[in-house]
Amino acid sequence: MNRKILIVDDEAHIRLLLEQTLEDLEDEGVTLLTAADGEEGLEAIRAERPSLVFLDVMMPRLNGFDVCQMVKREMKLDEVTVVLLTAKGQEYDKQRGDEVGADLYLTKPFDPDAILELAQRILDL
Amino acid sequence: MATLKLKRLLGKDRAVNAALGDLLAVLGTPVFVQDVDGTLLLGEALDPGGTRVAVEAEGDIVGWVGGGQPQAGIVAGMLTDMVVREAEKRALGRDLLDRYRELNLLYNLSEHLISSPEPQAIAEMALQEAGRLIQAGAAWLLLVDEGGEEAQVLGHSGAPLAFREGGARLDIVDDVLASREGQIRNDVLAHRYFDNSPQSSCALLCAPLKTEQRVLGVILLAAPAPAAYTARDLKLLNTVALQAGPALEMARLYQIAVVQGRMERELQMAYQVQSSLIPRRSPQMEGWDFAGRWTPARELSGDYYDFIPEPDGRLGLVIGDVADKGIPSALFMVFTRSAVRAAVEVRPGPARAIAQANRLVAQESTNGLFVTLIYARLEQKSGLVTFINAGHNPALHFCAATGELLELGLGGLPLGIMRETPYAERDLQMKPGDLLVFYTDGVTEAMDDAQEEFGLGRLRQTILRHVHLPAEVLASTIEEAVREFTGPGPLFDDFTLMIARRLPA
Repeated sequence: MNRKILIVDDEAHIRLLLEQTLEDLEDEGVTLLTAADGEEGLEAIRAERPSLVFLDVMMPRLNGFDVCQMVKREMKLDEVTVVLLTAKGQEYDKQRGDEVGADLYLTKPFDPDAILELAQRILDL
Repeated sequence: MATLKLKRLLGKDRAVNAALGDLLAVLGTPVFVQDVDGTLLLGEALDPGGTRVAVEAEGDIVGWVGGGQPQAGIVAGMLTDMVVREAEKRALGRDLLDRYRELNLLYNLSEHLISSPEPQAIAEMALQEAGRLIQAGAAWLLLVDEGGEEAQVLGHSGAPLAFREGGARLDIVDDVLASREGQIRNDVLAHRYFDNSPQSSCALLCAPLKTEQRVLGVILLAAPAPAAYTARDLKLLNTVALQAGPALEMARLYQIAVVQGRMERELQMAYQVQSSLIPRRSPQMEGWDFAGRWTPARELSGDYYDFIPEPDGRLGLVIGDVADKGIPSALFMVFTRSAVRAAVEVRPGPARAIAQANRLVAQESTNGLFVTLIYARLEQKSGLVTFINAGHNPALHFCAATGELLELGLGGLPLGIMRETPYAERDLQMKPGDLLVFYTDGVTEAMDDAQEEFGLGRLRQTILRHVHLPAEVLASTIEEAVREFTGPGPLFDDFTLMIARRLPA
């Protein structure tokens, strides 16, 4: 299994936060990649094939559902675990998430410890 | 915190990596980039043993650039700039993550605290959340009573050190309670605070649990190392304590409300039990007309009245008033009622019966409680009334023949004062049209807003003015007169009244 995690969020501070949360994994050989919108994220998934993608739902250009749909349904990249991120108070459309093949969803503000544990579990660290 | 490595920096951004590769290709002289351990990252290391320029960040060497000069130096300077910017970004990220964790802490706490009515659960949650963000070998949540004394350990966690409970109060706790401000004590002597501490010194962090009104207690953290706590830790603990304090107070008030609710229900039940001992309706006796009123000032009463049928068409009338109010006097009233009934059963005749009842009551009276009482036995046909007044307010006898209202005075001590008390009987002849009114001091001592008592005078006037009314109506009239006098507020004392009228022939 490759050891790449991709963070896709249009908000710079969320990208920074997630990077910082997962920073310690770099010492275990994990590469952290970031993308600032859906299109850039999709491009990075194509080129880098990360094992785990944290994908914001609300983004300009391609939103998280669209990206997930392409990755899971069209490119059929089942080995990529997609975690959708939604803001608190913003209703997560669970049915839509299931339709596009999302593996998990998390609500922001997220718990950094839970995120780290999740990544370790998925990457088998 | 992961160490910054050039390899990671270059691997992360593909565009930068590609641009750097292009740059090296056009420099005209071979230049290569190595990681700190010498691993080649970019270019071709033609002369590995030649001069290399270090790429540094935060005082550490993170990589090398070798090859021709001055190109290698220029590239190294560029990379250093990049690494420094990355280090700054990371520092910012760490700071942001700290803030984010604080925010999360607030979210978690407020979400959970509001839904928890249990002080114990609140304490555990507060300590757990504090422990997630602040390193501590041990943590306690202490509550103090309203006077700031008597500390109670409501919760503690991960305690390798035995907290000195019950011993000398901790200076830091006292200081925090007094100042209502959190405090840090780094490098304190562990044995001053903890029994059997394996450490010679430790660090303490303490924040007050407070509401606007008072300080409820503290959260105390201990780290088994000197100089462990920072201003940020104190800020975090204050944040936890600020949330936990009001939540604990709410939980306390909630519990009080629950207990009060239960007590109110129990009092309500006790009231029902007690009121079932008061005659529901007045006895029917040819030639006579009776009425009674019994209104407790609180849920329970120390007053009572009773009708006790005796053989040969006689009827015992009792009115009693236990000193004091509330639950103890209500229990005493219940006991007195039973004692009088039992005594009348075994010792006929008012004087003997009341002397016996007094023995029973005196035997049980341990708290200085006593009861004033009138026992009046009347004969249906003759109208002869034999009565005992044991320290009670004089009953009033309206004599139809003269139009006078006479007071029937004392005949002995109240019950419960002295075990052997003689009681003197007095006889009274009730003629047709005569009236007897028994009352407790809740009637005559009922007060208006100006603290003036209703008084015997007003009671007499009211009776004389309405003396020909049926007993029930007269009782209601007296009750209304008193209520009108006192106003709509609650009664200060139990209000009890009993009327016996011999009907005109």
